[in-house]
Amino acid sequence: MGLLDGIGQLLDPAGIFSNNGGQQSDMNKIFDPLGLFPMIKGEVDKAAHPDGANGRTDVKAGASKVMDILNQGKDVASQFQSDPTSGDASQQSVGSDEVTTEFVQSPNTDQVTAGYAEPEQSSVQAGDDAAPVSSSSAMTAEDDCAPVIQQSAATAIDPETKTQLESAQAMINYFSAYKNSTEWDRDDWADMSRLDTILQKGDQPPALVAAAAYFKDHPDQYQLLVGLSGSTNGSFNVAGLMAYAQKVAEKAAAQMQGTPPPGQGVPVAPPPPGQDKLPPSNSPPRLPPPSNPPTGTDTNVGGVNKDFTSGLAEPRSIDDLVQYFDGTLANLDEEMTKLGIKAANGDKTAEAQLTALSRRYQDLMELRKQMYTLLSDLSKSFHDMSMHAIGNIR
Amino acid sequence: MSPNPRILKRPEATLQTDAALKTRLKAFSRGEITWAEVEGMTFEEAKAIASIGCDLAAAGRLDDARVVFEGLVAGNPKDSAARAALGTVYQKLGRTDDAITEYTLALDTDQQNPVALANRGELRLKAGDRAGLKDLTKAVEADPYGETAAGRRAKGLVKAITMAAVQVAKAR
Repeated sequence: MGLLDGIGQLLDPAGIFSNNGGQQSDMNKIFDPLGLFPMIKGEVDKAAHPDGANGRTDVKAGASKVMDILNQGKDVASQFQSDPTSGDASQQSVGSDEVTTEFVQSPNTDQVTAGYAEPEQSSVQAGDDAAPVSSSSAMTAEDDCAPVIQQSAATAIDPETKTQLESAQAMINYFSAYKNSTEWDRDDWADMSRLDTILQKGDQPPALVAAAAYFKDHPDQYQLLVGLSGSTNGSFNVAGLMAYAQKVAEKAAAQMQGTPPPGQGVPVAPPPPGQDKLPPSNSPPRLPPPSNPPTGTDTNVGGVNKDFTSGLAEPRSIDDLVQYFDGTLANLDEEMTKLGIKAANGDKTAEAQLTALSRRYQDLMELRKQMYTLLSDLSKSFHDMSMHAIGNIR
Repeated sequence: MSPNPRILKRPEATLQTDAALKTRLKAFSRGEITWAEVEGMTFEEAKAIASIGCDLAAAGRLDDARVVFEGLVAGNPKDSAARAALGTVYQKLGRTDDAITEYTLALDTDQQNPVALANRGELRLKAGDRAGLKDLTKAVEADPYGETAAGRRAKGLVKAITMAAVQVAKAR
């Protein structure tokens, strides 16, 4: 042991490898001044490549040589390895292929119990602890569907906006129906007295009566209509109605996108009873291009409407306007269809996530089931062996 | 005649259990808790199962030990001890790459796991990777008193390598 003691003194001046332990954290600082590891590396490289070449395979070959040395020096290494504090240290032999399976927990208590249920709590209580989980990230199908539904509800147009749009449409239809009638001025202008007439007549279409009543009961909306018509005497025309309808459509689009309407163009009033929600739309309805060339007196409206909006295709006739507003609800239905498509895409994403989750769950269940089945079999075997031994004793 | 409180409590408790289970399943699906937490498995229970796995591995029933530790790791991927133990089983089964993967994942959670450090270091050293020496020295640092078999093995390896280095130096 004298030689070994000398080697030990040389290698372990701080007593790290002695049976009394030592400061392990300074191991590298001690090793590096001695240059032991570089020596091994140099020897490995030298053994594999005398010409000085280097590479991974060279190191591998050199390391194998070192391991061979270790295997040959098993007895000497065992003497170094024996450690009274380690208990049964003789079981381990350096260089052998035997690896011990052991369950060594971390000294950090929080790290040890991470991922396991609290021991003092029942499963119900553990579930209660797990209850305040973040609800922001949604992976389940149920949670994924919720934002889509919520979005659909948030993007619905309020009843007031729908009433305004329907009122404008009814009034424009009225202009179209009576465009050649003497009840209107030659310039297709109307005023509050015309609304009174409509309300007093009993043979008017209900939509028109409702529109007249709306503008009669909402002076602010009527004044807005008059202002958009460019009138100073309290009258309005088709151009004003078109501009008014455009503003309502913009407000509806803003409601669809969850943003305030641009410029707060149309103030919102309480909805009248019995009005349903208008189907939502992502963008203001666009006027279709004129289907027919302007002819005769129909060109009046086009001339009036030249400057009321820049983004709008210029209507050339009353028929175009009627066609436009008749198609408004169809456009909104189309937007609803788009929303339906969006909801369907969300469902597909949720379905894909659900499939992945289901697959992960199945894999997990398979592993856990195998483990519990094995443990159950072991327990049963142990029980059978015990009963057999007891039976033999009896 | 008053109703039996036990009978009345039972459905309530069942509903509470179902609600708690549903909450845990939702949290598990979001990756916020492990399956062991869903089951209500404590660390002590996992430790008892792991000891059976260790006994199986020591008895040479490596496939059974693999099943046990794979189940434990599936239940709680954060359990570095179970991962390291699974790595040793893989190593005994000759699945070196899987073993190194498990050791590495175990060290991601617990950088001072002596089992993972020692065995990964040895595998790396055998593969010619110089980082194996670093793993071995870290394993000795993590288990300075040789309380674990892996720590003792790492200590013996480091000592032997050092001795071999001295011999090489003397030969020069």
